[in-house]
Amino acid sequence: MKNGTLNTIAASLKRIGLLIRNRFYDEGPGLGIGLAVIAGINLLSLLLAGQAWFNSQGSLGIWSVIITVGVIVISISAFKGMHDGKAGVDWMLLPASPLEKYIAAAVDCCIVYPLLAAGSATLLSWLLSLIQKAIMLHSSNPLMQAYASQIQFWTPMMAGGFKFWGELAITAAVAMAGSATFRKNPFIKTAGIAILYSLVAGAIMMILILIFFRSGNISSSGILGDLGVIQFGDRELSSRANRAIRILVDIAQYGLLPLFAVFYGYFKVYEKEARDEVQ
Amino acid sequence: MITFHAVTFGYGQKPLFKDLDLDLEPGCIYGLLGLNGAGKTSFLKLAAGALRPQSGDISVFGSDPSKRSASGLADLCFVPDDPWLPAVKPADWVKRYACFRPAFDSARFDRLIDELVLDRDKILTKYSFGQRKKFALAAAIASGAHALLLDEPTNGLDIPSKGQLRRILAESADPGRVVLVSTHQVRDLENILDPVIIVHGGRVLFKLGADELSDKLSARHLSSLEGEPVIYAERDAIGWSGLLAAPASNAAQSEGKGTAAQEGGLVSPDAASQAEDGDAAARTGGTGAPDLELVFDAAIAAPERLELALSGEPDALARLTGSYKPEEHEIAKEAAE
Repeated sequence: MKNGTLNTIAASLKRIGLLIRNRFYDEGPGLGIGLAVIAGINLLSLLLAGQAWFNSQGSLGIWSVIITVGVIVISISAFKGMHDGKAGVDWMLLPASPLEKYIAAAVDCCIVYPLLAAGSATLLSWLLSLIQKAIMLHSSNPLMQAYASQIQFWTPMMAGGFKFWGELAITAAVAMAGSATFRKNPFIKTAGIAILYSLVAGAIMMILILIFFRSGNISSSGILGDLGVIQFGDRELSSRANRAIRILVDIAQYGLLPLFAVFYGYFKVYEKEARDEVQ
Repeated sequence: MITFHAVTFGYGQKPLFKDLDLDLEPGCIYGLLGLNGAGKTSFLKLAAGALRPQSGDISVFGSDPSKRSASGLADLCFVPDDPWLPAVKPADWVKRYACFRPAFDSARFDRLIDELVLDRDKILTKYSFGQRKKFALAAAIASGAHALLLDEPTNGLDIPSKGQLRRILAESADPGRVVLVSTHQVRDLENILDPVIIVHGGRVLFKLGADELSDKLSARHLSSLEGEPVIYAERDAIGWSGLLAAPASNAAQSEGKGTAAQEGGLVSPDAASQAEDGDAAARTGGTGAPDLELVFDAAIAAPERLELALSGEPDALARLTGSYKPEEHEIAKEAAE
């Protein structure tokens, strides 16, 4: 019995692996093109302006933005095939359970692609910095030669540490839920829902604060600001209350939101039926 | 075995099937016949798990298809009317997708690809409609699945391919396998479908085996309907093409009339003379064998008469004789027009 269970788990892991591999086969060429375009733009700017655009001073953050956009694009189309009138039936009836299909997509969007993107960005940024250094060192301008040692390249930790990657995984989970839910325009609809969620969460927070702290002036509240202090008109909250509110916000943002997104997305995949085609 | 128990399903408010019960035993190639919109594709999708019933239970070899378990999905294969294929070559398709089916028979798949003359070096999305269909059918037959659900498999196939498909399908019949084929083009697969299931008005009207049909019914050409135990008839250029409530030999004997061959003159003189000599095989081999298309039309237009004829009731013949009124049956009227 134990062996049977183990075999089932192993088989399931094998199928998840196969699904991830198939997803990569499907999306790999698109990602390769994206990477080539980024490399091309930077090489062009290196040749024309003597500096790789994304590696230039103050622009290193572009790498993080590009990775975020890339992960959102991939996650928002994670279940595109499922909604397709013809391909959807094939997707649904491929012999792997809805859970395996969802896990494969989640591993892909939240782990594999961010890692691949980070690795590719680091490698590309480093290569560009090497080329730029070589160009500068071979320059006749001594100022350029001196500046060569200061050339930087992007690394994953520059993006903002683990918080950035955690938030990226949450964003991917939300985008996946949107992809599982909406057949048409999933990006716009998911973004709309996310904005609505923020507004509703903010409004609930404001109402609670209004009830508990009896402040009529909530316009100056700074819950989501970086100041670390929440103020209501002339009243400043105690550090305990401040901390409590922050914990609540963190629970909503890092706990409830991803949990909701993951479960909601999974049930949308599980419940999907081939009703779009003919009878 | 595929079992539908009290299955109700519909799109929106109106049910397409209501309390549908049906058992499909392994070892048969079932034909699923019905008019447009009768729900043949929905029936197949329900069996495949691509749709879920509003109520009732479906079981495919012990597995509930609506749960879409990996093992359950591996044990069935649904080929839609217009199959989707990825942009890969056949060999890559096997590498990517056949690995999800533990019982996939690669050697058989290769053989079928060759038999169906499918180009191995071509990307599947570049295949024509018919080629895509043939590829999907080859993949289904080689899948090792115990339940094959084929939606309009002959649609879009050229004449030689239809012949190939008939042969391949007949070969695919296995004592442990259920093959369910929905089709409009009854004649394309007439000889291999046994039994046939006729769905109409949200229910299974008939589930008829070929033996039952040939034992109890005959199809003949008649100069007139008078005095014949006609279930359903269509007027054609040279008389009536009718479904009669008895095999040709019995009908001729019981009514004391000539055979179908003599009346319609549609069989060869040899067959006619053999028929006169009392050779039953020749009689049913001519115009005597029940025509599936005629059976289907009869089932839709005159279900109560067909039911009566198949019931085996002693007075069934007497009750049918001479009572056929084509104007009562819409399809017969349309055919006459």
